[in-house]
Amino acid sequence: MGESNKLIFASGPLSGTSAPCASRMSVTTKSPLTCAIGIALSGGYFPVELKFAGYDVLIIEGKSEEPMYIWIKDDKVSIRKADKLWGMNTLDTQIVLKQELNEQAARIACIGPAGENLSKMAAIINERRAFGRKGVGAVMGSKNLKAIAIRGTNEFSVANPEAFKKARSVMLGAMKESPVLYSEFSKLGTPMVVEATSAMGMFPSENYRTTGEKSYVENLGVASSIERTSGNEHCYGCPVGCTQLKIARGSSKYVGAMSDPEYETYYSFGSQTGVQDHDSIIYADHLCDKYGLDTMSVGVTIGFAMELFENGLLTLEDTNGMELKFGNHQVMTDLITEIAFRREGIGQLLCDGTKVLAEKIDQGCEKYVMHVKGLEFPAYDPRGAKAHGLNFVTAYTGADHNRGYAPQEIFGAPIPKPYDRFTPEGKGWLTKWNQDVRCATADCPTMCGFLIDMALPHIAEENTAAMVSSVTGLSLTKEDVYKVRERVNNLAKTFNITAGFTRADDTFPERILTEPIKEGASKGHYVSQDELNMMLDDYYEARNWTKEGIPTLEKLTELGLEDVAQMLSKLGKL
Amino acid sequence: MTEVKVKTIFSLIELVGGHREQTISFETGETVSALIAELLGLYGDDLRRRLFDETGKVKHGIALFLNGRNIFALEGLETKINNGDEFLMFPPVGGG
Repeated sequence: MGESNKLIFASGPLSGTSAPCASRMSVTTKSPLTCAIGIALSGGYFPVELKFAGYDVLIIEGKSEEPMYIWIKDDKVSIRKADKLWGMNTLDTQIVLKQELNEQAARIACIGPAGENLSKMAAIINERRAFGRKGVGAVMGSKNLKAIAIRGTNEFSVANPEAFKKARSVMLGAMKESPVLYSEFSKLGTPMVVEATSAMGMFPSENYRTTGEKSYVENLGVASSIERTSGNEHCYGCPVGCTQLKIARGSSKYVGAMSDPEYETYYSFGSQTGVQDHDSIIYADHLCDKYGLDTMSVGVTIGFAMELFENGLLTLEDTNGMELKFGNHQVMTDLITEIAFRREGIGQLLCDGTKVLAEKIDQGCEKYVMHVKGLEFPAYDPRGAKAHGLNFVTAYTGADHNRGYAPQEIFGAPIPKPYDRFTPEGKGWLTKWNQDVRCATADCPTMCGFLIDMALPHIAEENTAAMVSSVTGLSLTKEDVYKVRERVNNLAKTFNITAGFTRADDTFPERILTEPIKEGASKGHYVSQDELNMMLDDYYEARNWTKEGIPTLEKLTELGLEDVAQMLSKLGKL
Repeated sequence: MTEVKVKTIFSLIELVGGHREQTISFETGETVSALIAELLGLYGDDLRRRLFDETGKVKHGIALFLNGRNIFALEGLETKINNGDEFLMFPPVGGG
């Protein structure tokens, strides 16, 4: 969170065109949560507004002495005082700022109290959507930047309209042919995955100590979810609309709360904390949006704290008298506010995530902590999906499912071929393949990853090459796309090496390496140290990296990254 | 006789008699193919149309697991089934 850290908002080449599902944007920075490179992506309308204002990328440098916001209206850019906005939650900030600007059509990305209080789990919120992970909101808060408001009114044209029309038509056709995109996903959204991973025995429960032993399907599954659905939301230019708006029903204290919890939220505030109360999860999701927090890291941190409490490593004195027991939804929701405002006692203990909490508590609690490189685990127990897990270990951002999702293991997807999710063989190569596809066809062009996975896996690179070429006027081939994905993964890896990361950081928490899952469809499985070593060797070899995970001179030269090789050489790494 | 626990999730449940989980009995030493034939015998053409295309191939997006393992990473529909095995059928799923 130093002044020299950059905060980079980048829309993709297709954002702002009529390409489906392309209103995406990445925020990249050095993550305060992991100290590695951090990337958080979001959709909605904010990304295209930047393009309509005439910009591709916004780079925030330095730090203001007092709270400010940035106002961009086409070619007019001003930096203004935000003292009236400081202290407001994200939802109110957007309402008040539009009034202040007298511009109801402005699109806004902002931080809430969590970002202002420099929680390492703070997110940046636009509308109800989040640049959620890796503490990007804390970096924005450290710069005293409360919000970025944009209004763009420019026309947006593509370089080759005929080629664009043709490529777009191929995309739309593939989307129509998808067996899941419109028929299931647009109606159920990501929450449907609760039932899939539960059936596979890999929906994590109670900080991974009871995965497969407890079922959450009745209370958090599809039927329960549909009962609370009050509509769906689309990003700009998206015909799918996977975001499912939920409203808390019944007579509990949460009734009337509205939010759009994803699959990951049903894990982090549901199974991870042992909570079966569906409405409390909707409320918890709403609180995180409002305060500007990452639902995933917050829920995993609360689950970790619950296990510490149940094992006597946190006491009532530490918790301000709260009973941090698994399943206690009252405590789960109360803790979110404690974290957002970094409140004395339990709020201060939890607000910087699991890694910092483990360091503060010590006493051998490392064995219960579920993160890689400081980034809290996503909703898949890697003991039941080894390539998916190897991606957590090797992704340049830490335990990040979105950098190399393994649909072969989670949904039985047959591309590039079917895989057995329990075996370690071939998983190094597969993990590289998954990471590279995601990087080049979703992250770099900022396309929705769901679209690539569900409709275009068989033509992902060709589609990217055709679409980007038609919009920009470049003449990209799928081979160029292959090269881009490797350049990005090698550059990001090099960034992390310079930040001090080594092979020793590419590892799982102790629980994954030593405790077999006790019940369910993944019963008996874990990832032994030998298996992890084998998969890592396989992965590094597939990338043409050394046994220590350093990109080789040969690979860097092949990718045109000779300057990177020189830098590694000067550091004595190559 | 071989007894196999058959499980499925959301949109396939209504096509197998409304059972999220049920036990199917058939001859020992049989394969996944035989188990599916048994299920089709019980639940008919709606299930057949959901699982197979007009050429008889398993439809894109349908996932079949035996004891948690993707059968297409084993012997496909010819994968052998043993007494006490667990068979899981997914309709197309995505997201997460």
